[in-house]
This record gives sequence, C-alpha cells and structure tokens, in this order.
Amino acid sequence: MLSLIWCELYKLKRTPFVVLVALAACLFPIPATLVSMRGGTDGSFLSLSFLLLTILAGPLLLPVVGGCLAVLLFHRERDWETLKNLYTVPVRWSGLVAAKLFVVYLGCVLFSMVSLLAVAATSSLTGTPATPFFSCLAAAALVGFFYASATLPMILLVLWLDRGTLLSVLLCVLYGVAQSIQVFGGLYYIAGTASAEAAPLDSPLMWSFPILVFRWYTGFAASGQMVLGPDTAPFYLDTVPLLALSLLLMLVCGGLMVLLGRRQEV
Amino acid sequence: MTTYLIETKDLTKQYGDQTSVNRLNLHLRPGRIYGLLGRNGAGKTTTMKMLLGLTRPTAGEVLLFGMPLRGNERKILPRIGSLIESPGFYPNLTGTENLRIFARLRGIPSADAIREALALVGLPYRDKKVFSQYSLGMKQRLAIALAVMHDPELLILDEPINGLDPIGIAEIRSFLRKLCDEKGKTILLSSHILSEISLLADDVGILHQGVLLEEESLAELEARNGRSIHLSVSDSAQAARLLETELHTTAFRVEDDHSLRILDLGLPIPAIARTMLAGGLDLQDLHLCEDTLEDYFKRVTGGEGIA
Amino acid sequence: MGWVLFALAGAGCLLAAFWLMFRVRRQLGEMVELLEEIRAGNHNRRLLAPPGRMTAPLAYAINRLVRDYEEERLRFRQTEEADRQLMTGLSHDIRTPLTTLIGYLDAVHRRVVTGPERERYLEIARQKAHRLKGTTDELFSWFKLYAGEEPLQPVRLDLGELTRGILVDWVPLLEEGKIAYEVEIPEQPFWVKLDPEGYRRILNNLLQNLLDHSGATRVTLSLETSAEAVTVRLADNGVGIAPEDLAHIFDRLYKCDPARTSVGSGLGLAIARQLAEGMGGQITAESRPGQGTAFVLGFPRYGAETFQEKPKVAVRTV
Repeated sequence: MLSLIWCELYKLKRTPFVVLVALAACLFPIPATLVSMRGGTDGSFLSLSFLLLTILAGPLLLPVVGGCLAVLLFHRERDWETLKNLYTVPVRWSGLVAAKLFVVYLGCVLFSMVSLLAVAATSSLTGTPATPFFSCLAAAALVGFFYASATLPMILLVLWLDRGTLLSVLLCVLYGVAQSIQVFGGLYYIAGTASAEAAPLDSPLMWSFPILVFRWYTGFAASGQMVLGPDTAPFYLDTVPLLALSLLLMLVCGGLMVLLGRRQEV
Repeated sequence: MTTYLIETKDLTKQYGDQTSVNRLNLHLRPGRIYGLLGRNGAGKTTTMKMLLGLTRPTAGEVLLFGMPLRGNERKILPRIGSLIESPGFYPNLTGTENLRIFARLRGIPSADAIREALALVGLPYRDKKVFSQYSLGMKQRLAIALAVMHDPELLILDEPINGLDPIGIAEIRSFLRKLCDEKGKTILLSSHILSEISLLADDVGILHQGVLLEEESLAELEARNGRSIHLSVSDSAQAARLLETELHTTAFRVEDDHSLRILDLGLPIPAIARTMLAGGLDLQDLHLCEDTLEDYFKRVTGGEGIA
Repeated sequence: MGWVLFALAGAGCLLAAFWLMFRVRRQLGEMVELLEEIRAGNHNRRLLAPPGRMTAPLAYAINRLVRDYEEERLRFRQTEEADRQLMTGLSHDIRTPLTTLIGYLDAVHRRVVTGPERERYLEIARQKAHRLKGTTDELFSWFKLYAGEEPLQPVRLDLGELTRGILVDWVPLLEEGKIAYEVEIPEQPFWVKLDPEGYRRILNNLLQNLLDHSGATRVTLSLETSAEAVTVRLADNGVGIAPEDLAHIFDRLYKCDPARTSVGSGLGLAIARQLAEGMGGQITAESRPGQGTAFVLGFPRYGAETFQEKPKVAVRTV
C-alpha cells in the first residue's frame, strides 16, 4: 500500500498542476485575509481562519483542488494505457483507488493547512497574534479531510461518466460553486435570525455539508475539543459526527468506485 | 509427461454475439519459443490478455506453471513479463523513472536491474527525455525493457517488433533467441508476419478467426510444407512399396491411405506415373507442389494474403 | 492532555515496530519458499524486492548466487556435452580396429585361410593389436594430462642437445618414408626448463603426424632464440591444412578427414598442446594448403618467468 502511494506521488513529478495549487494555497489567502481584516470581522485570528476556511477556501477551492487532482490521477492511467502494465504486476484496482484517494485527501489537507499558515503569517505580520494556533491548524487539517470526503461523490460521478478531462474539470468547478452557494445560502438564513446559535435547525440549509462544517468549526477551533460540553447550543456540532459522515462517504463512494473500475476494459 | 508452462482448456471469449476466441487449446512447452501466428483480428491479443488475466474468459480455463490463473495471480504474475498492444507508460516521466515505478511495485532481482534492462534494449539510463517525447521505436524498446526487467521465466509478447527499424528487429530477435537458448526462458510471441515467426519460433500456433488451426513445431511444419511431389493413388501402402523397390527412394511421407508426398524432387514425374500404373494402382493426382510456408499459411487461413 | 498524546505516540511507535517486524518475517518466509523451489530444480526463479526494502540486499545477493550457479551449470553442461562427444568418438576409435582385429583372428580360427596367407593374417592382427594398444595408451595419457594427474618435472636443459637426441631416432623412419630432412640447430646452448619426456612426446607426436598425414617430401627443423624465448619450428612441404581447419587442429577430436578413416585418435596434437602449455610454453601452426605446414613451439628461456606473446618472433610462411 505504501508503495502504491509512493508511486502515485511519483507520478505527479513534473506536473504543473501541483505547483499551481501549491502557489494558490500560499498566495490566495493573503489578499483575502487583508481584505477581511479591513472590515467585517473582529480581526482575531480565529475569525479570520474561520472565514477563510469555512466560507471562502473550503467550499469553493477544496472541491476543485481535490476533484482536479482526482481527475488528473485517474485519467492518466486511462489516457496512457498503463493499467495493463499495472495489472500484470499484479496490482489491484482497489489498491489503485485507495492510493489515489489517499493522495486526494493529502492534497486537500495540505492545501487547507498551507492556507491557514498563510493566514497566520499575514495576521501576525499585521500585528494580530495567531492564537489559538495549534487547534486552528488541526481544524484546518480536518476541514481538508471533510471536504475531501465531500468531493468523493463528485469524483465518482466523473469516473462513471468517463468523459474527457475538460468536462471533468468543469464538473469539479461546478461542484465547488454548488458548495459555495450552499454556504452563502446558509449564511443568509442565519443572518435572518437573531443570532447564529438560536437559528432553527429544521431548515434543510442547516444540514448541507458546508454548513455542517461551518457549525463545527468555531466549536472545535476555539476549544480544541473533539466533543463539546453538554451545555453548548445544539447549533454547534461535535467532531465525531462529521468524522463518521466522512468515513461513510469514503466507504460508500470508494466501494462504488472499485465496482465501477472492475467493469472497465483494460 | 510434459508439463506445459501455459495450457488452456477450451478457452473462449465472446463479445455479445461475436466470438473472438473459440475453444482454444494452447500448449506451451518450457524452454521454447512459441509463435502465435494469425492475421490482424484473429484473436491473438485477446488470447494473450486472457492468459494474463487482463480479460475474463467467457468459458474455459487458463493454467500457468501448472496452476490455474484465477486465484493465484500473486504467485504467478511476478514470474511473467509481458508486452500487450501499445506501450503504456507515464508521459511526464523519463524511461528510467517509469521503470522505477514498476521496480517499486513488483520488485527487482538486483540493484542494477533497471540499468541492465535499459542497456539490453539500447536505451540511455540517464536521459532527460520524458516518455511523451519518445519515438515509436523507443517506446517499444522501453516496453520490452519493462518485460524483462524482473528476469521472468516466461515472456508473453504481443507483436514485439512492432515499430522497430530493421536493425532493432534483428537485435531483438537475437536477444530473444539468446534468452531462450542460454537462460532457458520460455517465450510466447505473436505476430502477423510469417517471416518473423519462422526466423524465431520453435513451435508455431496458427490462429484464424479465434480458432487454433494448427499447433506444431516449426521444423515439422516446414518439413510438411516444403517443395514436394504430391501423389494421390488408390493404395498408399502399395505405392510406398513401389517407391522403395522400383524407384529406390525412401524420401517420402505417407499422408493418409491415399496420398503421399515425395520429397526427392529428382525423381522424374513420368517415371513415377509409369511405376504406379505398372503396379496396378489407380493414379488420381500427381503434381509438383512448390508450396512455401507462406502459401500454406494463406491456404490454411483461406485468405488472400497476410494482413 | 499531554499524557494522552504521549501514550498515543508510544502506542503508535510500538504498533509500527510490530508491523515492520511482521512484514520482514513475511518477506523472509517468502524468500525461504522461493529458495526451496530453486533447490527443487527451477533455477530460473528470482527473488524480487523493491530497492528500498530492508531485505532487498539479501534478495539481490541470493539472486546473484543463483545466477552464478546457473552459469556454472551451463558451462558444465557444455563440457559434459563435449565429453560425451569425445566418448562417442573414441568408442568408435577403439571398436573399429578391435572389430577388424577380431575379424582377422576369427578367419584364422575358422581356417578360412591357411599356409602363408594365414601367417600374413596373424601378422596383420598382431600389428593391429599393437596399434590399438598405442591408441589406448594415448587416450589414457591424454585423460591424465587433462585431469592434471601426470605431473611434469621440468629440469634445466639445453633444448638443442635434447632435440638432436630425439631426431636421431627419427632419422631411419624419415628415410624410410622418403622424406628429406634439414636440421638447423645452432651450436650455442638453448637453456630452458622443461620436462624432457614431455618435450620428447610433443616432438614425437608432431613428427608422427607429419609422417602419417602430411604427404611431405621435405621437412625442416630449426631452433632459434630471442631475448625471452626459444622457438622450435618444424616445417614441411606437404598438403597443408585448410584455413578453416587450422583453428581447430589442436582440439581434442578434430580430424581434418571427416570420414575418420585414417589411423590415430585425433588426440596427438591435443596432447602436444596440453604438454606444451603445461610446461609454460605454447604451440601454434601455420599452413598454406598445397604448400605445407609449420608447427611452431615456443618456450620461455630459462630465467624468463612467463611466456609472453612474441611479435618479435619471425613468422615466416612456408
């Protein structure tokens, strides 16, 4: 398994996409942070990271990054007929899927962690101390993890449709936009109520994935606790349900991807 | 009791209502080169894919090294090196890097295996060229390097000389021959070019429209289909006796109860005719046959030519 | 909180260690299985290991060992094949004269011939028996040389003196064969370190070969010396040897006459080479078909340690 993961990473050598994404992760948060510090938030590191990850970077960029990475990895095998060589090693399709998804997860986690570091750098350079740092970093990693799981259905769709690279990338972008729309919709809804904590939870908008992350972030990042105390408002979520959801997505989508791959002609 | 390295039992592959491979019974003896000869679309590649487990057969069984393939892939496949259809490598990596991936996944028998494999096929070890920039010949060489890198006992090669220039073809030919003679490896290769098979193979299997028409050693095929005089009479046994006693020749083969092939081309045809008739036999056919192996192949596959 | 992390890290390390050990144990198990298969006879199996693995150097070393062993066996098989051919050839060489010998003796025994004819048969039989003994002796001596069982005892001697002594015995035979001979041995001493018996046999073999096969009318034996070597040259004006045969005449079985009808086992020249090389020298042959053959023996001068290739030795074609 480790060899498979090593191979997947090695296959990304000399791929401009990786470099671009790395750059984006470093550079994009900087202006975003500066702008949001100008107005809107209370300027604390916590709020900045929250804003960036759950509203800006998370829903829009992470699915695109994760989706494009997955498209890149899966289509390379298809376009260059390497599967027949891999199958005679022998390597199983399930192993390949697992390794590629691992790289997707890794990409998303790294992307969000690097973004957070960029935010931390910007905020400390402009005078705001970057606290609580470690819990925010852990939160960023988990955000990457969660959104990678959220992207899995998208990747499954791309594999199922089996179309060209351009179309697949477009689908990923659309998915990212869709996630963003969900976040903004949820935000409007919350803004319409008295306070976030009192927002009624019966609306389906409160249960869309990005909003779930939104509801989880402040609780975790502020306290660094996986399970929140008994007297917190029901608005806030524990980490465990989200982890469970992610795991479920992983298993279901991963399993379906494996089944899908079995029928392909080598 | 020969143990066959590859053996198939009624191997069949159907795509919808089209049968691509029909009840194939292949036998590959160890330490020999087996040439699978057939026109394009005869089912050679499909057969090889089934041998490697890349395609699931519709019916029948594949036995490799005496074991069924299904369920034993982990044990069997590392002992086989293969080249199927066009070379499949990663475009953004150099040849060495591509081989390194497979070295990591499958393992190599020595620390310099990659370097040695590349040297064997004549590709540079330290090269900046990535695979997408390779010429067709280089791509094919890299594919051969991948097939031999882990020093396998069995090689399954689908049209290995495809895309190579004449010098490359000769190099690969002598390289394959050496692998078989000196290292005792077994090779199954396919081609639609008869001349290549006749230069390289010890055993030949003729595949036509999914059916294995013939499976014979090359020596036997050549002996059977060289230039000869065909004789059709009412009684082969008497004809044989007459050939020996009257015409004093033993250079002939009895094909069946009514036909013989005389290999001694020095015998004048009128003399043969007279002898047969004088011996009381009915003479049905007597002609000089100048079939080459190629003519035989054309005849057997019922085609107008090698595609 | 710190405790928990610490404990987790510790547990993680322990798990990793166990997992690694388990993996290595499994790999070693696979190696042992493979080695058993190789031992059972399939020498084409190879242990495969990715370059980074801990057990990789072991796997590679084992593969090298198996490969070397396989090459050794290949060489052995080739030698075995050659030896088999030798045995087959030699069995003919003994069986045929023995059969003819028996033929003659049976004829005498059945009184097919009588009187002077009978005497003649007996004489022929006797000669054949002697010749057969000679062949058998030669065969044995070659085998002993080949197996290194016949040690040569080199002593310091004057090659010129020794050669003259050997030639003296050959003069009557040469005269009987109507071969004119010319001996060019300068008076100076030619100091070498040789086994005299070995040298005698080389010369005897060469001269016998000449008598039997060359059809020459004239033979020249000359000795010359250079700074490091002493060269003996035996040239004749006989039928010569074809260029394609020239490379093989010192091989064990090679006889230029493919029908093998002539006498001799083909070992004479092979024995000569074995002896020459055993004494630190070398033997070569030059020939032009129709014009003659020259055999050139070279030995290091006493004092020179090894014999090196001599471009200085004049190679004159006959």
